[in-house]
Amino acid sequence: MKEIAIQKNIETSLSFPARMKQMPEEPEKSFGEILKSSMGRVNQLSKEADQAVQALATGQETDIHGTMIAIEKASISFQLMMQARNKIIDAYKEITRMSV
Amino acid sequence: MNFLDAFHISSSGLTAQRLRMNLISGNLANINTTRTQQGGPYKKKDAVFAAHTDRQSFGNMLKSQMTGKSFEVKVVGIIDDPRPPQLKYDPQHPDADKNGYVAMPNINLIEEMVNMMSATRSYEANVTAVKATKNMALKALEIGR
Amino acid sequence: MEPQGIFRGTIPLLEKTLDLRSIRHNLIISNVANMDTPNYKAFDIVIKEELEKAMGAGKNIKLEKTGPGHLSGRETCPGNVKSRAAGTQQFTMKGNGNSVDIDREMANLSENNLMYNALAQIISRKFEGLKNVIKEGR
Repeated sequence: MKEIAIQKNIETSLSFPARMKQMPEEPEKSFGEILKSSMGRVNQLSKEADQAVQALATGQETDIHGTMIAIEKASISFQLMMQARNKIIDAYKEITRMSV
Repeated sequence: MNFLDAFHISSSGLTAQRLRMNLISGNLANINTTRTQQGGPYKKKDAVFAAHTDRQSFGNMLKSQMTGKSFEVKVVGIIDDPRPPQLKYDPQHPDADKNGYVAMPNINLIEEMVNMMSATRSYEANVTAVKATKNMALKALEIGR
Repeated sequence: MEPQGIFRGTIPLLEKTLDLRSIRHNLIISNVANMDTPNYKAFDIVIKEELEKAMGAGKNIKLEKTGPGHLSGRETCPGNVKSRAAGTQQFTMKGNGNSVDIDREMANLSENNLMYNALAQIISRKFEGLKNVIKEGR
């Protein structure tokens, strides 16, 4: 089930050519906006992980499992973003390779 | 939520039980002591425990509400047993009073042995608690490995 | 903060349960440390009850930053965890008003420990699965 959710996520961000066509008339968010909000979310997760690590290091809060989970979430979301970026660049390259 | 607190609570238990053991050892060692600095026979000593909430490490009320209560144990005092000393008839004894009675400490050997077993068991229980805490913390560190 | 994107589903539930288990751990070891304290009553929390409460209210909990030292919007502990005096099944034989049953506490300690370890391992597997999907099995 999780795999389906992720698949959907990647597919949405990868429907680049389709969205290019739809962009002018589509009332939905543009691809750029989706990308921006996703990166904002990744950034937020990284910040939360940093905060958790700081709290643990300074001894304010010894919430071990919470800190580990925050770190994992930041790492995973970052990996997903990098993969999405790779796919986008590949898709773009493919498009530029198309003979018009 | 707070693993440092957990270790602190268990260590307070260990300290308290160890103190209790020391008092019991003192009682057993002085079971026949008829002369002390305060005069009179040795009085049985006992520790008074009290549950204590460690507020310092919580910081603010929000955090303490969220992390729930925890109580450490504190030794608030060492008291002398108020029971009167036992009188033994022994006119030859250098501490005998004019009637020939010697005031012996009011320490019951069997009672002290039972207390010793109880203190040992409590100490072991706290050691098990420390092991469990450590086990959980190490397991939490393996998240994401 | 609502769990978004790929961290939906059971992951928030696992986080909350881990928090509850560690709270319960603290209560249990408090009971163990105070097993000889006069007039001390043993505490415990009922996991199911607290979890249902947390899952019901959890979706709407937002922590507001009102000061620099405050926790971030990350959903940490579910609201107010109430601990209550553990029920005493029979008469306590101790004369000092202490209601800690050491055998029950030891059993609870083991059970809680096991469940915490299991949950930590499960959430670890979930993250591993996510990473696997992202890397496409490579």
